[in-house]
Amino acid sequence: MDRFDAIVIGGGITGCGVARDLALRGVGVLLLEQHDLAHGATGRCHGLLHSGVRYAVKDPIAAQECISENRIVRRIAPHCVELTGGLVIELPGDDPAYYHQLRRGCDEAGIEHRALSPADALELEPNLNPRLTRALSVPDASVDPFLLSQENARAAERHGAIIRTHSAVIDFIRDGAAVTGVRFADDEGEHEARAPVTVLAAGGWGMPLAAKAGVRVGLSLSKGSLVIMNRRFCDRVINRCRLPADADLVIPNGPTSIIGTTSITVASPDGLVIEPRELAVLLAEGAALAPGFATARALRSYAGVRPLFQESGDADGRGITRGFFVLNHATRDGVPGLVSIVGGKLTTYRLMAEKTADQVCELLGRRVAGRTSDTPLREGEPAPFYHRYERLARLATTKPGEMVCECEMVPREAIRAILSELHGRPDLADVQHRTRLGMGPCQGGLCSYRGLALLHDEGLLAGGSPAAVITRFLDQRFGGIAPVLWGDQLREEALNYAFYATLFGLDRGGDA
Amino acid sequence: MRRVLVIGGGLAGLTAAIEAREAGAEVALLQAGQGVHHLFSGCIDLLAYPQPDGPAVENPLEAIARLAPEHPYAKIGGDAVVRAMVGFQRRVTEHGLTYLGDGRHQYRVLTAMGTLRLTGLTPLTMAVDPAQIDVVCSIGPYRNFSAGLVADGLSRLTKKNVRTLAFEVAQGELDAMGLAAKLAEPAESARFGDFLAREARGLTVAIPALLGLENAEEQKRSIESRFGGVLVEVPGLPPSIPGLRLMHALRRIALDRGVRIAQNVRAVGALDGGGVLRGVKVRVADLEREETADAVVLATGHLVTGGVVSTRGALREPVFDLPLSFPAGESFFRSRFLDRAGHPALSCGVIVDSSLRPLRDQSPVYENLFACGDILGGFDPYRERSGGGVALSTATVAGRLAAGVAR
Ligand SMILES: Cc1cc2nc3c(=O)[nH]c(=O)nc-3n(C[C@H](O)[C@H](O)[C@H](O)COP(=O)(O)OP(=O)(O)OC[C@H]3O[C@@H](n4cnc5c(N)ncnc54)[C@H](O)[C@@H]3O)c2cc1C
Ligand SMILES: Cc1cc2nc3c(=O)[nH]c(=O)nc-3n(C[C@H](O)[C@H](O)[C@H](O)COP(=O)(O)OP(=O)(O)OC[C@H]3O[C@@H](n4cnc5c(N)ncnc54)[C@H](O)[C@@H]3O)c2cc1C
Repeated sequence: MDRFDAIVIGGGITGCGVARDLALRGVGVLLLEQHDLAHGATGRCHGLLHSGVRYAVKDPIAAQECISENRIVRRIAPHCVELTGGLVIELPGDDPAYYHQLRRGCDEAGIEHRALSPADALELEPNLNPRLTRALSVPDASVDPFLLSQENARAAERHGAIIRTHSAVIDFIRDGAAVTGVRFADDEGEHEARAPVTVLAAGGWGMPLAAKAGVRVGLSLSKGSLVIMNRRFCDRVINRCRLPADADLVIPNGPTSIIGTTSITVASPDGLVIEPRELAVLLAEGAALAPGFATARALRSYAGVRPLFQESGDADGRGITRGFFVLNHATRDGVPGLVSIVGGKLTTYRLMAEKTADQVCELLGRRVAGRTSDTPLREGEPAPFYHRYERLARLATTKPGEMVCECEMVPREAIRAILSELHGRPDLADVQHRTRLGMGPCQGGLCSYRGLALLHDEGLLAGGSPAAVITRFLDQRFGGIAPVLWGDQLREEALNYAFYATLFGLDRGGDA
Repeated sequence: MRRVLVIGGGLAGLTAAIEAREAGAEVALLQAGQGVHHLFSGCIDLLAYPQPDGPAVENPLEAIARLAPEHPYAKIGGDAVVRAMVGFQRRVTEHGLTYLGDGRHQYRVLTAMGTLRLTGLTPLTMAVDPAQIDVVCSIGPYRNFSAGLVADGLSRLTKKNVRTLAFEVAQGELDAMGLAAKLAEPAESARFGDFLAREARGLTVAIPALLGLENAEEQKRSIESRFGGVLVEVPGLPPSIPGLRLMHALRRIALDRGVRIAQNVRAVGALDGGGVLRGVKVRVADLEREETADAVVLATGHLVTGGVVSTRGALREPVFDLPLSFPAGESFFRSRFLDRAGHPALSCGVIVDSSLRPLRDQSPVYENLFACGDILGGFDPYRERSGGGVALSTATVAGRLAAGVAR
């Protein structure tokens, strides 16, 4: 159980995509993720399945990649994508020339676009700024990055891959210069796993890890912060008609809307802090796109880092576009057995995974072509509906008593279904990532208790203290709420604190 | 007759209204919405953790005597607390609710989390030493109670093996109110008693707090007589039946005494008579009107009920714009949610003198305005576990002062 054809480090969308691609080609894969799947940039991104319009002026290659992958992801993962469509809107003061450049860029990249009169745009999206001067409709969509990662991981497992969460790689096993495996740690202790090829897909965490294998991967980390508002202002993705800048994108996400992002260089992907001035920009620019932002309730905020690859003219020509890079460290640095994948976007994860898997297969001496572009994630099943529609349909048959989280419509059954995927110590956050428990407006006020009770009743707390499990979850969840704590959200948290501290005594450990 | 206007229909508002009425005033109570009683455990906490880092105190009254001068208890004095407690117990007993406790020791009450909470006055239905509990029985299907979780927590605390049972209510009504109503039906209550007679004869059984809204104690006795054991109610997530029970009793007492209660009426501003209030401006739906009074009691609660409101970076008392005890620039919450030091926003409130009159620059804003309950500054009801006790005792004082009775 400790020997594989390939080891993938990192359970973001890239790592999950690589694991699936390799598994589909018959390669025996172990994926190791230090926390939970989508812990990194993936779970903190905007959730836009790019049409490419955002890059149509500045970066035509990225724009082409986006539209082509956008079409593929809709086809292979229909349950992860809400086909919202998108609008690009021009506001007074935006450079009018940009609109024309954008249309030309879209034509060149093959992105369908259609001009709408302001009146038509406002009829489609009545909450938009009524002063908008021009609008364009484009095929943007909203994607659930957690689900997309999990579904890639599940598909990989069905093809024999082993996915281990809460397993952090701490070092490489070397044979001379070559990497022949990894050492990793989980709750039980340290372990080793060996494989002829190891893929580093650790996103913003990649640099120090690569250094342990003696290679330098130059990454600059750019933090982006976002805010989730408790209303769905628009049914479409809204882009501002200008060169990409701060806070110019609003994405509908279930009952909420997400506005982003900012861009600030940071030193580490851990311990990200959202600064008050970032919030101010996000809320003000949000209100410029949809005036309701000014009075709506901010539910939580979060930040992720984009690792930007800093070396130009890299020697290894394989699969390189301006968006992402596959690095073969044997030819690049004289370290055989290690491949890195850096940069890119969630939207293009499949293409990135395919190029990486091509490289791995070449190193393994296997001639198997990738087939992810036409293999649905739920192979052999009828094409599923978008997961929220599925939930809505389930509402009709779920007894109210079975509903654990009303905000996100999570019944007991949905939680039971994922229990077998939980590794390591019991963690409500792992349940949250897989079911959306506690992600809605009450931010876990009532459903944390019910989720805990379910874990307990299913025997998953395994002797661990229930009070400690729920305390950890409540504290961790609060990280994203603290920056937006005013108005109704402050009121909600005052109430949640009264439940869990005053009523249940968890601030004092609950043992009075 | 002196006319007193009470703003707020929670524990503090109702208590102040009853006190003012008993002291001979004509009393009107306005409430914009519900108080927090449908959310709280039903226990009246007096004081458990005076210091953020200190241990729990076992004798609340003794600890109250040692509080810092800005604490509301210190402003009114320990004797006033005792008088309020006794008055409360006497009143609610008339309506079939027994509250046990003398303020000189704490009760330990088991919660639906399987944890224990400390409280000063406890409803009879919860007043059992958790160490005596043998069995935890769910009444289902009810999502806000897991017998397994409670039994697990209890076993850890008492090192005793606690069993679980599940009683299914016929034709399952699912929310707390529905279950309580169903369980209150004589036939269902008898069926439950017989179930316990088969499964837990003579034992002490903890159940979710779902005994009736009206005759909980009678119902407890009748079920107990069928299985020869003891029933204990366990409080949990809302809606809280014990809290509603208490509020129904207090409302009835207020109405019986002749307090006029107006719901869905929001106080929105002062009728300023230059240092005295002539009354308040109120809003009902979209209409504004004036309510005149000789004295006003402010019992609008805190963040949860709108007694204090916030915008980014600022907290405000919205009716009279009274100064709040909140240091400028401080964050509302600490970075850790379940921090045992509590949160700055929750301990801020109106600053008052020893007659509970809100102050601006150390002098009363209006000589006939009195504040009580959660809206007060100088304490943290949530962290200290003192909300119910402060509400009752400060309201008792505020109600009497508003009615023109000397302290
Ligand atoms: C603010 C922001 C918004 C974005 N919005 C969009 C968008 O709307 N659309 C889009 O297409 N793209 C978007 N992106 C880009 C997109 O999020 C990323 O390109 C993508 O998620 C990267 O995935 P990844 O798997 O490469 O990296 P990550 O998701 O960061 O995954 C790396 C994983 O490696 C794990 N790891 C690290 N060290 C170790 C170790 N030692 N052992 C084991 N595991 C380890 C981490 O825990 C992490 O889970 C956005 C990015 C940011 C920052
Ligand atoms: C979840 C929770 C659990 C708790 N558990 C316990 C416990 O177990 N034991 C305990 O002792 N304490 C507990 N507390 C604290 C305790 O409940 C409070 O301290 C106490 O009930 C406060 O009473 P109050 O009357 O001051 O305020 P509230 O009950 O908040 O009442 C305020 C009233 O004022 C009204 N109002 C507000 N603004 C206006 C306006 N402008 N015009 C008209 N009306 C207005 C509101 O509608 C409401 O009727 C708990 C609190 C919470 C939130």
